[in-house]
Amino acid sequence: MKMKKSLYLLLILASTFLLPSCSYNTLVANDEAVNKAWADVEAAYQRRADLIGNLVETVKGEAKFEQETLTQVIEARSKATSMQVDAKDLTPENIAKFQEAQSQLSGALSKLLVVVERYPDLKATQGFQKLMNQLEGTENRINVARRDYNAAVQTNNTKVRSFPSNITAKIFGFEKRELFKADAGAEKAPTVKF
Amino acid sequence: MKSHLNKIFFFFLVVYASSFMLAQTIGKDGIPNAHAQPRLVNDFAGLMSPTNQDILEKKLVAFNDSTSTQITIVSVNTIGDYEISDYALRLGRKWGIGQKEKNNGLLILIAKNDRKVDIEVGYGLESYITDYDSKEIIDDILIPAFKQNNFYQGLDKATDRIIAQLQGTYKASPKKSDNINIWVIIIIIIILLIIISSIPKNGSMVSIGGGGWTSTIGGGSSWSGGGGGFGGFGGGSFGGGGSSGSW
Repeated sequence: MKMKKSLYLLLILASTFLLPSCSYNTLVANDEAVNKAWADVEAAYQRRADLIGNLVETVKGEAKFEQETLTQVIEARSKATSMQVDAKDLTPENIAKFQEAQSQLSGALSKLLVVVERYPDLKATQGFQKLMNQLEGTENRINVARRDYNAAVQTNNTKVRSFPSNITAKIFGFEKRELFKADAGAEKAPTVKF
Repeated sequence: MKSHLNKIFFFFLVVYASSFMLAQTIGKDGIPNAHAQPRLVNDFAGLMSPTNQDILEKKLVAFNDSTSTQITIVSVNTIGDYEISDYALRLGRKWGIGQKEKNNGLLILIAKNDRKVDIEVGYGLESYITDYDSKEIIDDILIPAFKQNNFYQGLDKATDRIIAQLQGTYKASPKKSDNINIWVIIIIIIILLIIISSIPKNGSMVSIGGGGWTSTIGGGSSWSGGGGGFGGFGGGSFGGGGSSGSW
């Protein structure tokens, strides 16, 4: 009986001292950092979707003859907002789908902005200028959030793959996470400079 | 022999002096490091007179003292291939402008030869200085002044407006460190009581490790040092808030 007790004690002691040296805590922290970075990415995209909603409302009244472009934006927007990915299942396919939906929205937005060029009165209003400025800021935030996400993933993956932390990672099921790929051409678009 | 020593002495003097002259070191990423003696006004491109730099510095240090909000001005000759907002974001994060928990840093970056200016707003200030506010500050205050080479006037007015807008949002927290001190004192008293009560009547004292406690006293205010100078950046971060423009 006493033997068993001391064995338990030994195990507890061993795990408290050995687990940190196997970088278990670092793996947890890295994993959480990736989750948080992903949440920031989604928040930045959500912010953009909200602004696009406002933009559509603003443009609607002025540009009455551009129904088709507006509908495209509205559709792309609702598709993009319905495409939420939980941080836990960031598979390559899911990320690809997410990016696809977002870049479609970017494309539709670019088209709308080209159309708006034909309406100087609309462009000159303060409300519109504010919206454009906010959109520009959102694109900045999206870029930053994506870069931060990739940095967090890289830190995580390095730790998961390098010795000896890879052993701890295997035992406790810490995995490599997926990177955001720069989407072809859509990275810089849409330019909301005005 | 003696002249030899003199030469060696002279050599070290030159090395020592030149280490001051090379105060603006540039990191691998092409972005300047903060001064070893950090300042809020870092006019690397030499846009303002030293007197004007000092006036601005004093104003910003005073604002930092009372609010812990760190408004920082950096001018460089060129930003190379970077986009200005990206350059400013990286610089702000690298230097850690603003306090760590509050992220209340704000950076005005001027690229002299590129004729570009950027205001980068820390996470914690984004709701007080919106992107549109920073756009207005750039378009209405900075660019008209910069066009006439009035860099000091522009920056002076811009910082006045930013300070006015941020009035009452953040406070420096000397109160907190007072509270800590009171708690530390109470804990020390308790420990002393335990130690005293644990002294056996016959005199031989049982030692209880109380050594570590004293070190926590006075860990609070880091910006109180040396005649009102700037105490250093707090490790704040940025998320892409702000605006940019060119003149």
